[in-house]
Amino acid sequence: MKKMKVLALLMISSLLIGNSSVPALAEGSTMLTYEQQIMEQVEEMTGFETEDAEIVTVSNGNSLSRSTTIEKAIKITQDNGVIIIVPKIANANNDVVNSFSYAETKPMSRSTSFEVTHLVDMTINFSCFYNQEYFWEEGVTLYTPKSIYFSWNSDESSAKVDDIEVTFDAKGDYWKIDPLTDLGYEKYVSFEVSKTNPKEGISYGDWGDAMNDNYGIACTNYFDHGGNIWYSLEYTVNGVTRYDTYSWTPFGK
Amino acid sequence: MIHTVGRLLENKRTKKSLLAIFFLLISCITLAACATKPNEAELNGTTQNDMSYQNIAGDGRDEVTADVMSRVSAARVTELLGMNRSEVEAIFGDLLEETELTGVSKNHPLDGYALTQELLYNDVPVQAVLEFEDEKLFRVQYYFKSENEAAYSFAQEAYMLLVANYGESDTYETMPDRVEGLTLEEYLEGDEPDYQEYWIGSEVSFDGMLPEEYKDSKRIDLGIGIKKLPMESSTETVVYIGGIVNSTDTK
Repeated sequence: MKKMKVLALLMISSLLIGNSSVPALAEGSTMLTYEQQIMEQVEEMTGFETEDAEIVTVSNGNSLSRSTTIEKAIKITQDNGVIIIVPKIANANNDVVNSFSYAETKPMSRSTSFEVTHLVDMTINFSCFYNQEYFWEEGVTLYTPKSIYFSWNSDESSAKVDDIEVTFDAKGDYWKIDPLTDLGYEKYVSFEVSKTNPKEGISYGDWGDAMNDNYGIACTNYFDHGGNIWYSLEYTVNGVTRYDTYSWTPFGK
Repeated sequence: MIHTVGRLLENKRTKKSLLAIFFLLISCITLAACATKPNEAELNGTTQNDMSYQNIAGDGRDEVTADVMSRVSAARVTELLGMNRSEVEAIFGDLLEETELTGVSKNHPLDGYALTQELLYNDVPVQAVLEFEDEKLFRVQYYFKSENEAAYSFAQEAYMLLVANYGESDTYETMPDRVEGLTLEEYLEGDEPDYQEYWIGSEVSFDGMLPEEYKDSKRIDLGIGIKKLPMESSTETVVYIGGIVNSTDTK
């Protein structure tokens, strides 16, 4: 007898791509689109693998009102069936809306992702997330800092990171986006990760101070404003302990 | 019939006379222009390394425009950066106009000058802006409006010139958003809005521009950047050559 295929329709009403539920990224993540971020958050919340998932369009009929809603969903195919997940998010008015539709109305989240390659027998991967949007009416670019993540790996079995501190901080004139308003004062945000003996291949991050999507900072001063990624670490490979520090400026005036 | 032929002949003679006068006039104008037109190198004081610019003969305005472009070419700009405001004012004279710029907040007007003369880069109009910090020239910005391909070409030429003069850039090898290796397609179609490249320890001097309180933690490097500005119905581009502020931890 043929095994019956199971079709599950799940409604996940939670904050996807919200400020407080951003999970740690997978190792080696580069720039993520909103679709990829939604996938990762669904995976985090449900435990379903989304690596081979597809984004599909589903039609949700309502027999009482005779209305039909067409919306995007995630289709996950497994050995014993197909799972359709329609991710939802509560917007600023507390209305529960489709996460994909919501994401399309938001500025694209950017990441500066890169590898630190100058260490001896060790590589560190950084991903720093922030929204960036240019408002042509006011001629201003606003940055909305979100998070910083790092992981490390090495081909040497003896390699280990003894201590590492990572920060992503940003400062600028504080703006509200809708309605577009210069709030008249500066804002500073900082994300910090400090770890002793972090495990290889595990992504560590800080998103606790993520700025709300409706706010951003404008860099109007070359020296005092901008975003900065910085690390300081002590690591040991083959019994030799080394120290290194470096910083980058992903955005500025 | 005879009458008609006569009129035709008469018309031909008239036309020939008019053409002769016209060519004579053109010759005189050309000779006069050649006699008075200074050497381009004399005009801009620059070398063969200068960025190419459009010089349309026969139109005085365009020649001036092209000349102004050569005066803010990548090669020339590296000579001007760090110069005192009064010296820059003396060089550009009445081409300077104080301005509030697009690309920055209206509430925070840039401390700079726009050149009133429109520039041309490969037939494309460009507005140049000289930006000062602590009374010294910090950056020159080039506004290409929606001529994004021309802006990309300009940035690539300027980048190559800086590489020729200062060697490979010091931008961290694996950093994204680099001018190096950026293709036109990637620039036009990519999501990244900013690309930059910088050189540590170039001979361009930014001495005195860094406020005292940042001297231990920050440094000014010579750099080039290209920025996409999404407007209401198109995308515009700004290219800049000048100072880029880095942390002293950036080696």
